[in-house]
Amino acid sequence: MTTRHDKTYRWIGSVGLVALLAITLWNNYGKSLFGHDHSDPSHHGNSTERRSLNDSGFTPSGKLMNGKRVVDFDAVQYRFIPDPLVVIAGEHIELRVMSKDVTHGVMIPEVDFSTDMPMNKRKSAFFTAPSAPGEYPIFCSVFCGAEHGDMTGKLIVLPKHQEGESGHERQH
Amino acid sequence: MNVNIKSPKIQIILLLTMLAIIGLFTGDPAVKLLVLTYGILTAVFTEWMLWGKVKPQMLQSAVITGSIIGMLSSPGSNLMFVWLAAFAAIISKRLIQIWGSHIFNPAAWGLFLAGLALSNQVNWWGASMPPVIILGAGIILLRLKRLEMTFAYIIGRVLSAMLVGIPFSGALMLPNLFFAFIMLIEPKTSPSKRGEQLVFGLGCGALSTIAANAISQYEADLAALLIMNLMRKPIRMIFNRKTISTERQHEN
Repeated sequence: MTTRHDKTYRWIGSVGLVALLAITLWNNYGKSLFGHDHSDPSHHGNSTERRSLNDSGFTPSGKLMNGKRVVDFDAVQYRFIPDPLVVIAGEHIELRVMSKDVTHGVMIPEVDFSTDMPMNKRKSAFFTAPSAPGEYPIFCSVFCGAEHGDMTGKLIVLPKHQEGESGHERQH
Repeated sequence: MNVNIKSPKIQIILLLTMLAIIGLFTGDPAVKLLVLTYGILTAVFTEWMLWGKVKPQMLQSAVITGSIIGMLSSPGSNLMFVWLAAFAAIISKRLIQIWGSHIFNPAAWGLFLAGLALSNQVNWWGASMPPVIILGAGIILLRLKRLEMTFAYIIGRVLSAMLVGIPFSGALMLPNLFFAFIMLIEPKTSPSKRGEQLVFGLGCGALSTIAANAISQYEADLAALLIMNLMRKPIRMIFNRKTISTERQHEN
């Protein structure tokens, strides 16, 4: 038998669920919950990182090949190599991933990228770098041991105008 | 609401709270708290939407499921992933039932389904303090008589990893203790008798190694658990048949 109490709870549950879903959609497609302003490159990092980003202190990782950045990206318990992974805003990235001990995974939520990193075998995975410069977290997505939860890295996205500034940047 | 501290569910909630607080100390606490709160709220709201006013035990289950989902989803992950995982987890309790109760571990089901739909965003940030997990959950499991299943999983995971070529020192690090001590042992979706628990745990460990090598982008432990959830009844049937045949031999 449905009581008045039941109806109230069902109503609260339904409205709550819809509200959470609405917040999610708003967060995904509208303004971010934490007011992430991607025009500010430092919004994912601290002031030191902001200075470094603006001063172009970072060199893009890997090499440019056929219009895409190719980076050998390794993992060992419990870190990624290279860390940070440095790319230019909006460019196509080919990560040639490999694990040097147990199976790991690499996940970059910002660009909805996730793949496993097989042991001692290189595998290519592709994503497009965020269009907004900044610092984004990288996580290990495959449970790899006791400190798996702390296995994180950074993706640093440099502004587009820094493309080619580095002496290492060559079209192959 | 009357809270009984001796209830295993309350103890698990306290343990999860402790692990969450520890997990918040590393990285960005605000983002982790957001993911955790989202998981819990979605689970509780779904529970209320489906059943109206529920017993405290059911609400506690929802809080546990939501907390696990929040503590496994990577900080900064798409909130839709958390919402979908928690919603699917609670829905599965009602919709996916055989043998009188739900089949799949709700949190594992929700996270796996959300991973399939939106790409895997699980990173187990809440599982960062193994000593607390072992001590806290160990005491609870000792009372519940489910510790054998946890140990069987750990042995199965390590041995099977060594069989696929991982050195012992590396294999020893692979068993996921949060999974083994908190998720695997869920009473409604895992066996209660010792022999069945051993088979269940060993099978889960071995399957986890297979899945880690075959479909690792979809969370091997969760996939293994879902398969073993399906195997629970067949395992019981095999054990019952053995018991009956042994009893008949004794009678003859």
